[in-house]
Amino acid sequence: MNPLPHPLVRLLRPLPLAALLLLLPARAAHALQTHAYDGLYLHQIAHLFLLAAMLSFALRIQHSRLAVRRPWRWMAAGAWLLALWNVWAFGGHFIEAAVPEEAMLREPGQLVPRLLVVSWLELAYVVAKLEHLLVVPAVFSFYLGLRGIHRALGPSPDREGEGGP
Amino acid sequence: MTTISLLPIWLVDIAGSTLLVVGSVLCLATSFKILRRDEGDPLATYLFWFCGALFAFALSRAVGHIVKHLLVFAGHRDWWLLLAPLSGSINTLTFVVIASVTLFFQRMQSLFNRMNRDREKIGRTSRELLDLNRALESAVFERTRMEMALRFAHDIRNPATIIGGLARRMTQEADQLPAAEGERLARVREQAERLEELVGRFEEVRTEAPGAFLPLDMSGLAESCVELLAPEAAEKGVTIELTLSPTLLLFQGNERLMKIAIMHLIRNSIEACREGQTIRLTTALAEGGVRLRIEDNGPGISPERLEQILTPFATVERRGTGLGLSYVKQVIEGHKGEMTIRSQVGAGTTVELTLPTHLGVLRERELS
Repeated sequence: MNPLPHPLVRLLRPLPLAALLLLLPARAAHALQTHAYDGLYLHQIAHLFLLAAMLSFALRIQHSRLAVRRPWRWMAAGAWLLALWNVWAFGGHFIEAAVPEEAMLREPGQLVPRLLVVSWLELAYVVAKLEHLLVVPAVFSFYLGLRGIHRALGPSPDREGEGGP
Repeated sequence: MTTISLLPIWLVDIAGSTLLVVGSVLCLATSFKILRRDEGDPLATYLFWFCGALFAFALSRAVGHIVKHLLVFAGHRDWWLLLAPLSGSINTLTFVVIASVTLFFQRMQSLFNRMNRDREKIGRTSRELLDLNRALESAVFERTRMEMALRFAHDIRNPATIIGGLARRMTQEADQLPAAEGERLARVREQAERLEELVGRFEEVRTEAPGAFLPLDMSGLAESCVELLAPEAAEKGVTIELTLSPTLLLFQGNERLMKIAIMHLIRNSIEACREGQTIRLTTALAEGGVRLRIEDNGPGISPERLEQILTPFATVERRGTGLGLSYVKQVIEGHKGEMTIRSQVGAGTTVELTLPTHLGVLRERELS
């Protein structure tokens, strides 16, 4: 008797039929698609991908023997901050897109524009734009972690013979 | 209507972008130093790639943000609208690289950890096999020594006893002999007695202690032997099933000798079984002791052959450890245990080892 196929194979089996059914009511095909929001969507998907990777990285460190070493705790902190920054930036991009262009006011001779606040959306825009408050500490956490890892390696073999007689 | 200046946002953006570049450069430089220490280290490689992508992200982002502010500040917002998709695309790309490198490294790290665990396991097994080999050599040497001593004693005992007896009898009648001959006869008697003493010493070899006896767990022994022989069984396509007693099965024994004996039995089964056949090991409490049952569904052994392989010192085919089942039987009997073999041609073989849990008491009784 043949063994049962893999569950994923069984799950995917109805897909060709479903695809065929979807094609039946098609009327016209547009060969060239427009890309109005593709860039933003792709960027947002990349944010989610990076968020997943950073969460996975941080959790993996915390649930391993590395968690007892200070440099790796810095690396985990950096990953948590970068994950949080991703959430912040992800929301920020949608808020930025939602704020109307007319809300940016620039009088002649004025160097920096002003923001017209008519709802909570503009205030959220201001908060979202301060994202560097998260991403900069994240990068410096990574740096502290890397510096610790490098120091833990001890003196370089090239320098061991140095010091003179 | 309220308006607020965007100056704080601009300042945070420009200062943040600059700091981001500085931080990412420091990260990249440090990760490069780590990589230089061991270019083959996967962790160092990952950290370098991670920092490289982080640097690209920081640079593209910083340049994008600063250029944006400069262009808007100079009244060329339309120019920024043209450049923005490029800056955003590079940013997106760096996110994907950082995430991909991180996730890929984690998978690689899992594989490396698994390889390291396997390597440690192989190392442990090799050391254990080496120890067992040494014990085996020692056991073979001991057995050969004992066998030679027994044969020598057996061959010499009768002539020595006869010579000694005759010499003693003649000494009793020595007053009828000249003095010089009487003296020679006394010397013959003396040498005959030394020969008898020598034979006695050889016989003592047989009763020497077999080695240190310690409390052993039968389940632990069985598990350890199966672990050592699992690769051999897997290579032949034979399955080993292990059913261990939930309770400790302690008995007094010599760990190495018992391991050699159990391994010999399992190896015999592996050699006898064909691909797809199964060997079952079961440990349990038995009446008056602990029991290990090794059963296989191999070809079985004929009664004539069974009798032959259990005969001590019989010339039989030697495989695996180089010692026959008779040796295994000797080891078990040396532990005051019992070995039974049931076999049916075409149906398989079952070997049962039963070791007493009160060996210490038995020994004390023997000594007393």
